[in-house]
Amino acid sequence: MRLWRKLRQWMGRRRFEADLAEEVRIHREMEAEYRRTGGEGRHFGSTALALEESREAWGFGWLDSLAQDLRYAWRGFRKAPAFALTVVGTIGLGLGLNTTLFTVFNTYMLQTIAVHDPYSLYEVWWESKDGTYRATWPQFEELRRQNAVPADMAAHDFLFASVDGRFGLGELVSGNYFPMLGPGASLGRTIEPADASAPGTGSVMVLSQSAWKNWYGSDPNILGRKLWLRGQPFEVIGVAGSGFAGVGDVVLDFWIPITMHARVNGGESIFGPAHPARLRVLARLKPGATPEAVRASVLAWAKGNTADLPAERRALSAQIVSRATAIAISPQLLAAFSPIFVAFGLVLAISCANVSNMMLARALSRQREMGIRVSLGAGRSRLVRQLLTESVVLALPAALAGFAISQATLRFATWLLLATVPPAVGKLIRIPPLEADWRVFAFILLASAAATVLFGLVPALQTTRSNLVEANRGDFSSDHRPSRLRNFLVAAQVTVCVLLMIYSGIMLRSEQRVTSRDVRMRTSGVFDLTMSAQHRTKAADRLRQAPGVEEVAGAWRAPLFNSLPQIAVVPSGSKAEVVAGYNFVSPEYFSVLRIPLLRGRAFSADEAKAGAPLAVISEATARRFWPGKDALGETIAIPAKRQGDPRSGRLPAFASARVIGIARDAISGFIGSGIDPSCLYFPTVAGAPGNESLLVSVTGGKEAGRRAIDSALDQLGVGIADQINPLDEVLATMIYPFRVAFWIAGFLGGLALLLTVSGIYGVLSYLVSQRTKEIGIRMALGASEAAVVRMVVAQSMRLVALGAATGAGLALLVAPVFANLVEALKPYDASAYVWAVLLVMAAALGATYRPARTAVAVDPVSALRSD
Amino acid sequence: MSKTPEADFLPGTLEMLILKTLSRGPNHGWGIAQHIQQVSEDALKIGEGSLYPALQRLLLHEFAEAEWGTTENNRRARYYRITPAGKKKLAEEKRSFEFLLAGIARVMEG
Repeated sequence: MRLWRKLRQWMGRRRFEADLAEEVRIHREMEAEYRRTGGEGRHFGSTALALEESREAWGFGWLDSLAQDLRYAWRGFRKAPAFALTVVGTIGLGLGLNTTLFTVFNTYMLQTIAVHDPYSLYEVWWESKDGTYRATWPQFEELRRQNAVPADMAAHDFLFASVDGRFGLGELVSGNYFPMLGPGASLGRTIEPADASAPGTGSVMVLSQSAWKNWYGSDPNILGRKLWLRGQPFEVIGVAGSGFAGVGDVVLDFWIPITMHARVNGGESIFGPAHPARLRVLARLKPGATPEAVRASVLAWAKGNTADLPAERRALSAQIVSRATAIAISPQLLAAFSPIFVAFGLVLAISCANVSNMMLARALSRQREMGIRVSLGAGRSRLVRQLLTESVVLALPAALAGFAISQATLRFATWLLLATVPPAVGKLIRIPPLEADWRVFAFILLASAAATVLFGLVPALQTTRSNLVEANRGDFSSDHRPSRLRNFLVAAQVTVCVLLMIYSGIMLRSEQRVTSRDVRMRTSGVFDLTMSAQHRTKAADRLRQAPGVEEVAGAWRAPLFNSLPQIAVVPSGSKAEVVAGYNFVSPEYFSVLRIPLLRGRAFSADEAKAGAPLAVISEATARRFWPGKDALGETIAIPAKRQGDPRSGRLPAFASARVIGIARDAISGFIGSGIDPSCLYFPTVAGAPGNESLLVSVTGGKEAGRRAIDSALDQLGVGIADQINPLDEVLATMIYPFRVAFWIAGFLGGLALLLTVSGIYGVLSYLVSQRTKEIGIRMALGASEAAVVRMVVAQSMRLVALGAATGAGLALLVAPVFANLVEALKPYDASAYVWAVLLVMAAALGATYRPARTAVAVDPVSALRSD
Repeated sequence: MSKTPEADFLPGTLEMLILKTLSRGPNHGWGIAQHIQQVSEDALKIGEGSLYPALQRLLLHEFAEAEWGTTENNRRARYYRITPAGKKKLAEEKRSFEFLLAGIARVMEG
């Protein structure tokens, strides 16, 4: 309030001054009159001082000098617009990039989801030794009724399926899910408890607002429309409230009642006697309840509930995670993303260093001015304040530029992503609206303030340090500290630049490596189909007879999606357990994917149907398990215990398998890991429960093949296939992240290079102009042009070499972080180091060219005469 | 913000004296100085160099408000009036001043 009064006074300060002057004048008149009438006069101070001190009472001095500084800075930059624009552009670029990153971070981790009271919403689960982490329906029902647990509970399960022919991400939800979360409806109504009252009923669907908009053009007549999902019609009853797209980081398109679980998924009903554990549990904490209390009470309840079960299925621990934001922030998550934060931050640091150097050069050429100011009585803090004000004047437009750049970058990156991503994954991508809210504005303001201090404070302190006598003489050559600082900044820039360039090189090489990898199986003309178990056998039979379809195979895991599941086995003739990759495949798998059997044979149809204790193994596996021996006829023992990743583990029904065939090596797991180090194929049939994929080879091209598959499946029911992906697109999807990593690293590296080159150029140009006189003398004394060029170039290249060496050293230092992540990513790749260093050195040399030419062009006579 | 107006004064004393003067009724700058001098029997002479900054401080903290008016001699003058906040402040100041004075007295006698 007081500040406000002050400001108001300051705005009307002309009036204030007039009032005060008038008042003092009247005071004097009264005093004079009083003396004339014989009164004894009082001590009379200086009027100017009285006015000054009255002004000071209001703290105008500070505001006045700020206004002065702002005016002065503005005039200064108007005189040197190129300088001001370069500074604004450079800082704006660094700020913009970081704001882009922050906007994404903000969207996923800081913005709350569009529900009622997001901060009391948690996901809770308990874990047992066998890896079960989902709840059964009776468990959920009982948990809800627990008074000891201070929370309300809702259940849900993901359902990724085709809705009217479009791939959609959805959820099966309990009747109280929408009432508990409270996202509201923007059209019609949401799912209510009555919709999910009895198993097998509730053919209704709620769409998300973005699905409604993108799929149906926000058609207001959508209510009542029947949409087909896995062969079942669902009536649209509403559109969820604006911005609500589910809980967690998966952006959802639709919701249906949990009571439809068995009808859309097939298999055992969650309401049936088998009680499969399929449900995820959301908890809405009661007022005053802590997450820890809920976790502890849920664990206590779960331990009691599972006490009668076999030991490996008893609850051991419980977890609770906030669902207030799409992704809950955790230290592990931040650590995983820290290389990205660091890389972006470094670009901002380089741009600050660049500007710092430019400000320093500018400030040094103003040292005489500073000297005069000092000798007229300006305090150092006053001068620093003036120089910092100049930085602020530049930082504000830079923040604006940064904001504009971040918006443009986000648009462009979104466009680029959608334009280049393989269609198979494109339909899975849902980008939440990346909007700037108050946090983004706060971030950019804070970042620009930090940048201001970074680029403004050092030059300000540096230049105001000069001592009075030297300053008045205009002689600063005896103070070497500025040049030391300048050198440090240049070397640091080169360091960061080399570091980023090395990593873009490493990313590029890994991208080339995976792109050129031969997966050694057929990918074109093969489709990967996913659908619910209930349709799979019928679909496989129908497809086999369809024209244009060559063959149909079934597999547990489709190839080229992710790393193969791992299993511990004991090869015959050995006692040690070995961990190997494995899969369940139907006999046709090998012919559909053109993986030849080098020795032995594949399973017969009968063996596959019976799940006979047989195995086909890859060449590499044969060499590893039985080096120098014939693997055919050997056996593989499978210890009877829960193993591998229990959540995805599926064990063969037999305790040992005989090897009947050896298949050629292929890449069927993650492409970044290269040829499968080991792969065991166990027999299955296409329709067997637990299998995830049908692999269909077609005779025609991709389009004809898809049409053939579509028309064959349409005879069975509308939308029974969740996804139909050409295998070559699946492969492209797996390579895509490598490409994106290279793009990001390359973009940052390129930007860093650009900034560094401009930084070196700026510093050298300044230095050459500072040393014009000296160069003139040297040339007058007979220095050759070559010697002058050598001098200028050597000055910068020494720093560049130092920076490059430090950068390469740093890259080696952080290499262990990336060393064992992905086989294709080789952080010790020598060629990346060599190329990066050479490129940066060449660019730096290029940056010295013009300053060197300027130096050579110095005319000794005029250089000596000037000044 | 509040600088010691005169080295001889304890900080804030001048403001207290002005507030006390104003508590008897609105007055202009010269009138205030005059009143203080008379009541103190010429012991306290306030120069304008300290009077006006002190008045500005009172305005800033809203312990007083100012308005142009005319004196009984029909001369224009700026009249200062004590505000409720000023009255509270005066009472406070008076209490702590008496406390301080008593303390000083005890030290000097002891």
